[in-house]
Amino acid sequence: MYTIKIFCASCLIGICSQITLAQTTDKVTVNGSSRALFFADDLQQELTEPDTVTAPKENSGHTLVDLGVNIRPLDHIEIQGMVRVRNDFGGFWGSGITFDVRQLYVKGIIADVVRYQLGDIDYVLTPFTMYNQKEYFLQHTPSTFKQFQQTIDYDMFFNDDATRRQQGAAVDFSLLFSDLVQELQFSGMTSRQQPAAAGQNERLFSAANITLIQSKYFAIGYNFSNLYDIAGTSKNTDIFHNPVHTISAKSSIEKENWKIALSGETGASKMWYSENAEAPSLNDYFMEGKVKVSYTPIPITATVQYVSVGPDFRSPGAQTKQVNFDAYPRAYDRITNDQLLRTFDYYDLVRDVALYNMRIESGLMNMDPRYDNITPYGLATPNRQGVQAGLQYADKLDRFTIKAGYLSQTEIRGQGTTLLRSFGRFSSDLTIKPSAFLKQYAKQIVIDVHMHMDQTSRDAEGNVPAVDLQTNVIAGNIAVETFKQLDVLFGMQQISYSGFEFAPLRDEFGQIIYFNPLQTDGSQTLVGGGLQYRFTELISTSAIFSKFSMSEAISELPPYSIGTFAFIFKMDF
Amino acid sequence: MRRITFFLVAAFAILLNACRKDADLFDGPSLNDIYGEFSFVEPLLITNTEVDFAGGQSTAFTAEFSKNVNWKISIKGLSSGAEKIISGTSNVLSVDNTTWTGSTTILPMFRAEMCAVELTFSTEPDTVRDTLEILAPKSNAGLLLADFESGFNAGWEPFVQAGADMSFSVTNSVTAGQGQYYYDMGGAVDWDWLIGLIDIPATAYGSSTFALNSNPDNVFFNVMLYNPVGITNSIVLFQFREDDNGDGAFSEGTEDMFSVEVKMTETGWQLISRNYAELATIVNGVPVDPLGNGLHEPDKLFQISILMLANPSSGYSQALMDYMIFTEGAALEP
Repeated sequence: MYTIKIFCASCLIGICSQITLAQTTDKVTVNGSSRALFFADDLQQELTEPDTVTAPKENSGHTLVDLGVNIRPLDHIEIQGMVRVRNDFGGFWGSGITFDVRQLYVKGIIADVVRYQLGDIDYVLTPFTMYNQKEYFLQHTPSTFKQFQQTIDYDMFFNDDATRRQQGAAVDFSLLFSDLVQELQFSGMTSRQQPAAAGQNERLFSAANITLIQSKYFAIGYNFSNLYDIAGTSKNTDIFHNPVHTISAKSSIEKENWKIALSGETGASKMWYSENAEAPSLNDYFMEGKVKVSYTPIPITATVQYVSVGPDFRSPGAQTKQVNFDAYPRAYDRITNDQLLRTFDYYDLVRDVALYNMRIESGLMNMDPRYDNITPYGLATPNRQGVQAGLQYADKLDRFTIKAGYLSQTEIRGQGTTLLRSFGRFSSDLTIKPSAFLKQYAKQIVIDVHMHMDQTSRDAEGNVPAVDLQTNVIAGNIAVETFKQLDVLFGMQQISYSGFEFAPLRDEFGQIIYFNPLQTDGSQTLVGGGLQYRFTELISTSAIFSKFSMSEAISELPPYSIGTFAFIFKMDF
Repeated sequence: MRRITFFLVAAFAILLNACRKDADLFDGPSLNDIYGEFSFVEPLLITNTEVDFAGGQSTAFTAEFSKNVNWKISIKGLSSGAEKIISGTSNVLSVDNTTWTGSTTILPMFRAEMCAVELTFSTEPDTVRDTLEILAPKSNAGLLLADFESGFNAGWEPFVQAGADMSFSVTNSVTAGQGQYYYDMGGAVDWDWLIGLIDIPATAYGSSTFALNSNPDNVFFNVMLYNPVGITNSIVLFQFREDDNGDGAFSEGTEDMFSVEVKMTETGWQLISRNYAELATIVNGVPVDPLGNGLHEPDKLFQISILMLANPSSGYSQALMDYMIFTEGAALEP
């Protein structure tokens, strides 16, 4: 380990010594990011007997530098390497320093036709084949706290375009036509998901797409993804296969003041293990269609989407969750005098990268119905059919935006009963910039409000109780620019849930083997405020005071709160 | 072009929708089975309460429950103490899953007797009881060598050492494995492993070799042995001598002698069943190469010997024996 550190340090010194040289030519450029992050936490528990075991105060944090070197030895070849040097606070004299290769890739163009990338690649296809869906309840984190969540997104390569960071190879090319068809695009990738080991086969993920662009008004594509084992890479004869084939199409119509966009996708999946009689073989399909209508004189957009995803539809590239619900938080992992394991909460999800997953997983990962029982696996959530509609009004002068959405779905096949659950979600968003209304006030004030209400219900049957689970999320944020580039921030988010649901317990193949009753009545509230100074668009620093409160009426864990002073410095270069 | 493509995509979607399978009514186990209240929809009934198994009759149990449960039917012979257990997981008891043809799960075998029937559930406190009567116990096809109901076969040739407390006799001191009587082999011999033996020549059954199928895979040797409480040293050795050359005699060392050695460890009656094709040649307790032609030829079985053995330094030893029978096609289902 020490040798590796010396080697990495030497490399860094070598790289740094060439920066001067590098910056004098466009063949070598330096890029990267750095940050310092510090949390000072204070845990308070509501106990009849004081907790004399758990230390109530915890400090944690780190500084890190991601130092990347981009080399272009030829016009059509680019090499990117990035080393991460991280020092956890408290790790003095080198004991807390780690060196990692954060990313490494080579990309270029062969014969001015075929683009390729080897090493780290970001790839996305469609929401049903390969898509890195962020948890719905985490999509509306107030920007006061979002800067912590963004460090997780950065570390885990969770990008806004829903790409998945993979290690492998990708190619793409296109053919242009002069008549009938405008363009035919081809792309494909293969990445390694797990290496071969004793009793474990090498597992790869492959994806491909062929898109025919007839014109700017119409395109149709074939999409393919497959998570599969390579037979013979270990003694294990259980070979996993999960191919997904889909067809997607989109079209747009513009007539006078109307803009209509149509899109849809349909396809099927098959998941099976060869040589394993106990493993299931699952086949199913899905279909999705969407209509988006805009009327230009009024900046209003309406969307209607129909989705039907079969209960046995399995698409690991689309259904793998970002959050690993089997993980435990690093902060205050055990509390109370009995040192009970603390399950993670919303505040942990905002700031603890250890709760997240990057690898594409087979089957369906565990989920927590309290947070999102309707779309836990994104648009590709199996066993759902129904309609969702949305309406958006965006002020032409960018002073405010209002959104409202409604979802109504049911199961296709019951779980544990022939009765079907029904799902309903109402959501609304408001972004308002009061400063835009005040001509005398030049600085920015931005207010964001989001709320959504989820409802899951199913009738009682005999002695089996009815399912009735409700989740409400309210989030709000105010950012007021005071002095030059100095913002005052205030944000809050509350997640509350109550009711009864059966949480399915799945075996290693994803089959439901039991239902655990889940009676819940709790809420989680994160409130905080602070200051943010923006040096430039790429450099900022913030100091945030916050308080997170958690209570669950039906839990062995007591109600608790965590008061936090957080400091963050971020710089991209 | 666009219309055609959309038509094709829509047709594909409709086709997929038509193919959606609804064979599975729901995913996972039934919630009613896990959380529903248990009750009898139909009470327990016995289809034949006076059953003649020897005459080919059978009986079954019927009932219906409000949910799937793990159920167990126990039938106990009130005279013999024999027990038959039928179990399963379902919400219906019917002839398909509860038919009883008179066989035994826990020895001894059933007799003509009254039986207590008990239906219990692993997850429910309910217990239902009833009775039935066995008019005639199940009979078993095969070559019955001995059931000791008519005493000791006069054609058998016993040898008993002059030890202490010797008891080579037909008796009924404890419940027999089958019927009323069994053969008691016991004694203490402090100078030899052998306590006593019985030679059973085929001539005791009226022919020079036993009337068995020539295919050893089809022939099974079955015997019931009983180990009394406190006895830990008894060994019962069965020897099967073949007349390989058909000369009407067994030649030691040149013709096959296969063996079954049973070291008695568990108390009570137990059924020993061996496929004739898997019998081994054993010398001093160790498997060795066959001494004759090496072929398992049950139709050439000339003599069976039963040796009661024990370590001479271990003191008194005893084993009870009952219902020795050759069956064809399968081991004895008592």
